[in-house]
Amino acid sequence: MENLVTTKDLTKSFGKIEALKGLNLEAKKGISGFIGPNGAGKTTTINILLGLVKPDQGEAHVFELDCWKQSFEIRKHLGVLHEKAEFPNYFTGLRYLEHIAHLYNVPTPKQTVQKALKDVGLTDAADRTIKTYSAGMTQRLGLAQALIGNPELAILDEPTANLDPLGRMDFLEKIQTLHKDKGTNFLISTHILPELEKICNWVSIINEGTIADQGYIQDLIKKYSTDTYIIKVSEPTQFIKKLEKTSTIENAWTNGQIIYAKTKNYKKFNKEILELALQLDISLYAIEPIHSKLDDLFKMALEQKK
Amino acid sequence: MKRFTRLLIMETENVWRFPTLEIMIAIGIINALRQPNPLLPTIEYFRTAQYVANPGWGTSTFFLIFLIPVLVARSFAKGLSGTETRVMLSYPIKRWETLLSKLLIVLLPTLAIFSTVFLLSAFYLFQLPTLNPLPYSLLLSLLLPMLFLTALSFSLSLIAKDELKTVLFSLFIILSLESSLDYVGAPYKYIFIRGSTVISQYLHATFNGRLDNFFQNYTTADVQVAFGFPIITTIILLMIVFLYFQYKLDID
Amino acid sequence: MKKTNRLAASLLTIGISIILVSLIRANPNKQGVDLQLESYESRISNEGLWAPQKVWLQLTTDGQKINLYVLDQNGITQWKEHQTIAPILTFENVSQTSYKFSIPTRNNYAILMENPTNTNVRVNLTLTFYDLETDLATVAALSFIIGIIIPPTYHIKKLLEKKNKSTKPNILESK
Repeated sequence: MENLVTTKDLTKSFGKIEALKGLNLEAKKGISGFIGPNGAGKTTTINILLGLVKPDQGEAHVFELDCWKQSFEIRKHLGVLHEKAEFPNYFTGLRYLEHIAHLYNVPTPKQTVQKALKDVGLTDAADRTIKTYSAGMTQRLGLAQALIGNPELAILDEPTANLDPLGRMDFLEKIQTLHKDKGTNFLISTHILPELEKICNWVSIINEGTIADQGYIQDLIKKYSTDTYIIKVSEPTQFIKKLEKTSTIENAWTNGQIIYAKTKNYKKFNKEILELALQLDISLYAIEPIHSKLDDLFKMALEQKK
Repeated sequence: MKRFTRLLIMETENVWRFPTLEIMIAIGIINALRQPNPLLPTIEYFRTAQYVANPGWGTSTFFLIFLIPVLVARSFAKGLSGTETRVMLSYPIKRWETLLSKLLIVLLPTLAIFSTVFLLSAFYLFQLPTLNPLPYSLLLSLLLPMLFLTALSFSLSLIAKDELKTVLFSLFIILSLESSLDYVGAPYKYIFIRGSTVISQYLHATFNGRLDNFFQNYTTADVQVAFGFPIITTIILLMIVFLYFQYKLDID
Repeated sequence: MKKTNRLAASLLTIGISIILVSLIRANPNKQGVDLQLESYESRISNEGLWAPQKVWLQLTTDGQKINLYVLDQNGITQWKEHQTIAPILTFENVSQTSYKFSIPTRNNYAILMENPTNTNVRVNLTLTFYDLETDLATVAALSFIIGIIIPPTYHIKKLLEKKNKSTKPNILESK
């Protein structure tokens, strides 16, 4: 099973609002990112994968099981953290996790719950009611309940919301550790793209109910590489004066040591740089592209889709 | 089974949290016992007649009109209005299990509390024999309105998807129903609380062989409506709720 | 809420509810009878299941004297079987009396009136049941007291357990 999640021509409307218009999502084993602007259809997709919403048309599969007809089987191996999740306020954190552990048939529920509370830093607040928790503590409880059943796939919708920077770093490390040690796969929907970039191996970009692009993150970065290059030469000041006059350059600037040049025609630009360096008798040390951050990739994918 | 039991425990702890259980116990005790009976007849028939005539039966139903919608709203409507139901259905639980657990958790403890107080009243305060079927069967006059109220509240929860609206709509429908029945003739006026009186009188007469006395005041149609209306409406409403929740409802 | 506190709350609720109900039921409740006793007639009245309350017995006749007995279940059976009765209260040769007494347990009781004369006598008897029913009041009080005792008992137990844990010598340290 290469794809943990697959959807084919998934369509869903709520009245006049078309939330999904033929979505073809894939999520591979590992840590997959699911990114898109507000209202793109991320939560609707997640709800369909969980069997909470029935699609109007198309198919959705998790672990190669139908999301609507075999939802119960899927959820046995799934952990979920919903965006703005609400838990019964009058339970203590400890008691709630105990119940969830039993629902997942965890073999040693008490020990598992204690460990889960320790992992998310809620041991001291275990005997307090959820009503008294701060937003960050509720979020951490949400993480604990998503992972307590030792799921094969954990779907996390905005998991770092309400977490402070240290909390976010902790969370990312935890995700990576869990994936490395236990083989837990993740599908993370988030707006905080720089964090996702550090841990994801696969990204799906959704916009207006369809997939704008998806793939392994390195492939996508290569695909959407910026047309800006770093040029390292022995005489940058002299080089840049001539460089600005070449036909392929859109823009060039320097910080005194390194030259940055923007071009749309890499092949011709590469040739012109080599020729210019020879012409000026200047040593050329390197021409390197500046790799996109996920933010840039996201923007470019959306623009390209438009 | 283990999972369903766990669900029941969870729902019980959620719905019957302090002071809900205590309020229900207090209402049950006060309704069942407040009628003084310093001197009860020796003849069992007349003693059971006094037991049947206890106004606590009627006032219990009146309190249930308010309590049942509140319990259903807290258990069901609240989850639908926020993300609680969405979170719960993300666990390995089946939809019908969720619904059934919520239904049982409203009905069973309420019935248990009222049954206990009324049966204790029957067997201790009224000294009725424990094998007398009447005290047990009289619980039907509480159970049937309870079922109807629960079914109605569940239906309204699905429509309103809001705690307060569910309670208000339930109260509005039930109280309008009750007051409009003043203008309706028999047997249609026995569809709800008035029907509880017919049920208890009918059961008393049946178990004491005095049906001819009973039918001097009521007709067979009155009895059919008193029993039939709550049973049929409960079945229909709960079927609709189950089918819609199981197969149609988008939880988003 | 902890389970012990919940249990305590439930018991307190039961206690308070039964006390409230007992106070309502303690309102004076009159049972009157007005009858004519034939000469040498004995008649039972007010037979039934009496609540364990206080009773105020008020008897007036038309001037003739009668015997009045308060019978419990045994006494009623004895009278019905024409045996010698053992009443719980006796008023002999009275034309007027006012007496307050307590019913010990919830059981069957009756008033037996005897006309020992050869003339008819008009009798007016009023029983007023009042005050708390002792069985209900006892249950209420017990429930209330247990409900109050449970939380502090539980806390004391927890404190003692903590103290025992902290005073236990650490074997590793002593080594």
